[in-house]
Formats: sequence, structure tokens, C-alpha cells
Amino acid sequence: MAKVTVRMVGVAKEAAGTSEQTLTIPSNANVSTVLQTLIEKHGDTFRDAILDPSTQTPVSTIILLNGVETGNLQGLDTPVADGDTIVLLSVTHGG
Amino acid sequence: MTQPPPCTRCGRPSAYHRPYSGERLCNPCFTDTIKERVQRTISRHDMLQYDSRIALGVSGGKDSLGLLKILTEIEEDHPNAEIIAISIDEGVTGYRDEALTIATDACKTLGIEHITTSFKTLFGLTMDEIAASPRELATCTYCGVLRRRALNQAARELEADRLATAHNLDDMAQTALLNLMRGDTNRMATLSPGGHELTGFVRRIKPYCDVPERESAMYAYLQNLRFQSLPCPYAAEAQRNDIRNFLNRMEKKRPGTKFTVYRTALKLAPQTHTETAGHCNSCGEPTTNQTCRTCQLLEQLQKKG
Repeated sequence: MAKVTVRMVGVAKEAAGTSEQTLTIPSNANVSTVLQTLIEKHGDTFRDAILDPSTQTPVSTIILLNGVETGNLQGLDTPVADGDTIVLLSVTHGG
Repeated sequence: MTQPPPCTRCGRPSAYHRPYSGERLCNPCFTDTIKERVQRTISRHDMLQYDSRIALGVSGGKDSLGLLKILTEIEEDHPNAEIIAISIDEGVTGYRDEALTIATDACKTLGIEHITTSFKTLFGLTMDEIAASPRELATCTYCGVLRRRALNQAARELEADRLATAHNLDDMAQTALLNLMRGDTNRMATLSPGGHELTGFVRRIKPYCDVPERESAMYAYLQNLRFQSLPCPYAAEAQRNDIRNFLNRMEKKRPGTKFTVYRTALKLAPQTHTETAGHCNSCGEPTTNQTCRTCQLLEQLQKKG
């Protein structure tokens, strides 16, 4: 098993009710696994906050793995390792 | 950990991928490109003079705070130019309060003069009251019209010669599609980022119009800007939301879609803004109609109420 830290900014934070948490995930997990774990933990409101309603993909959420945007790596298939930090940054905020 | 490819600009490990251009950028180069893009937009549309007095609408969101930071940096090289931040309190309980505090703090940190005015003061109504009233239109329609009026009035009173707003590329592409879907080609002229000279109106400029919303969020995050996290509680009513979701999906599938939509809309827009402003029969503010849109909406609310 691996432990990862997840930080959330914006709508994702509001939906989860917390700005930071530690998750325990399988050792062969990837970014997609982390999102699924978070959705199972925080429910539909959280899912709707981070995933597009039609495609169920995070088109309006920037996901950073150790400071690198996952679109710059292997997207949702990017492997996640013990000690990694993931940031979920909502693109649409108030203003 | 998977190693990121090198930065397209400097060769260091990259942190961000721009699918529409193919660039992979490290954080410092990403930040530089956002500022450079704003500078290019200002220059291309001849937005500012060396001594411009710029009123900047600052809502407390990521876009306006990012633009505030960049304009402040640009202004450092132009000592005769001035920036004054204007915040509008629309009166949305639990939403605008947070943003106004953030805007005030940001201006204080950057040493920028900041004024706040409110819908209640100017129009006698808050957005909460409008939202609760019997009405024909979506809340965003009232809010948009009243906010534009409030910003113009405040900028004029401050004797500003430019009114800058932080509309990003997504805002512009969404507006372009909305205008198209409503068959309103005349309104395409409002997309012109350099604005128009029109008596009674402070010239509106949109220096952030080439910055995608995604990159605006990333920029604000990398700059450690504290910005408002909540979306407006009334935003879900807006048709704009459907367009936003559609454009986000298209951009993911076909990178560059938002730029193409916006650029095409600019080509469709009337090349010259020929309307001449008169004065509203009711309030005396400048308008291209007999009664301005603000008065029309407020009168509708009074009749319904």
C-alpha cells in the first residue's frame, strides 16, 4: 500500500470539506485510482465538482502530481507512488 | 516517478503542457509566458498609453487578481501610469464578502488604491433581493448589466481613461457562442478587446482575453495568490454554463478550439463601432437607446414586484 497527500483548491475543497487529506491506496495505483478513491470517500457532490457531467473526466480540474500537471505526464494513467503529493486545482472559481 | 519532458523554452524539467501550442513549460517559463501574452495583447490592441489612468475591476477571483499583479508589474516601468482597483459588492450573501476581503488585502499588498461600491448604494437593490424577486430573466443578466453600469460610473468618477476587466479567453469564446446562438451579431463588437471610444463611457479594455481560464488558474496558483474559491450561487442558472461545458469538452478533444471561436467572432464583429451614445431618458447615463438597459431591467423588477 502507498500513502499519498491530496491538497484541494477551490470547488474541490468546498465539496470535500477539507483542503488536505492523506489517502492509502494500492501500491500500483495511478492518478485515476486516486480520483476514484476520493469520489468514493466524498460522494456525488465531490464527483460533480471535479468531473465533467457528460464525459466524467476532469476537464475543468488541473491535477498536479508533485508539482507537475498530469497532462504533462501520462494523464490519468500516471503512476502514483508512496509519499507523492497531488493537488486538485479547480479551474472555475468565483469572481 | 515519471520524469516530465524538458521545457520547450529553457530545457529544465517541464511542469505544464499546452496542448494547443505543443509547448511544455517549467513554472518560471509558464509564468513569463502569461505576462508576455498580456503585454502583447496590450500592445497589439493599443490598449494603454504611457500615462493611462487605469480603473481595474477587481472581483477577488483568480482572473482579476492575476491581471492586477501583471498590470502592477507593467506599471512599474511606466511611472506616469496609474492603477485604481474597483470592486463591486453585488450583495450576494456569503459569496461576495469573502471576495471583497481578498481584493482589499491584495490591493494593500501591492500598494494599489482600492475603492468599493455596491448595487445597494447605486440601485437600491442587492442581487439577493433581485434573485428573490419575480423576474423574467436569469440573475446573471441583471448582475452583468448592473455591474457594467457600476464599473463605468465608478471609473468615470475616478477620471480614469481606461476601464480594464479581466475577461479571459474562455469568457470571450463563451460570449461569442452565446451571441451567435442568440443571433446577435451586433453584440460581437463588444468582444473587441481594445474597446471603443464612446462619449460617457470609459474605454473598456480586456488585457487578459488571450489567457485561457485554465492557465489563469494555474498562474494564480503558482503566484500563491489567495483568490475566491466559491462559484457564485446563482451561476447555475446561466446558459453560459452549458456553453462553458461544451467548449471545455471541445478544447480537450480539439485543442485550440477556444482561440478559434474567439478569433472567428472578432472577424464577424462589425469592424467599426458606429453607434453614438445619447442619454437615458430616465437616469441620464449614456446609452445607445432611449432608455438604458439598467433602467429597463430595474423598471421590469418594480413592475413585477
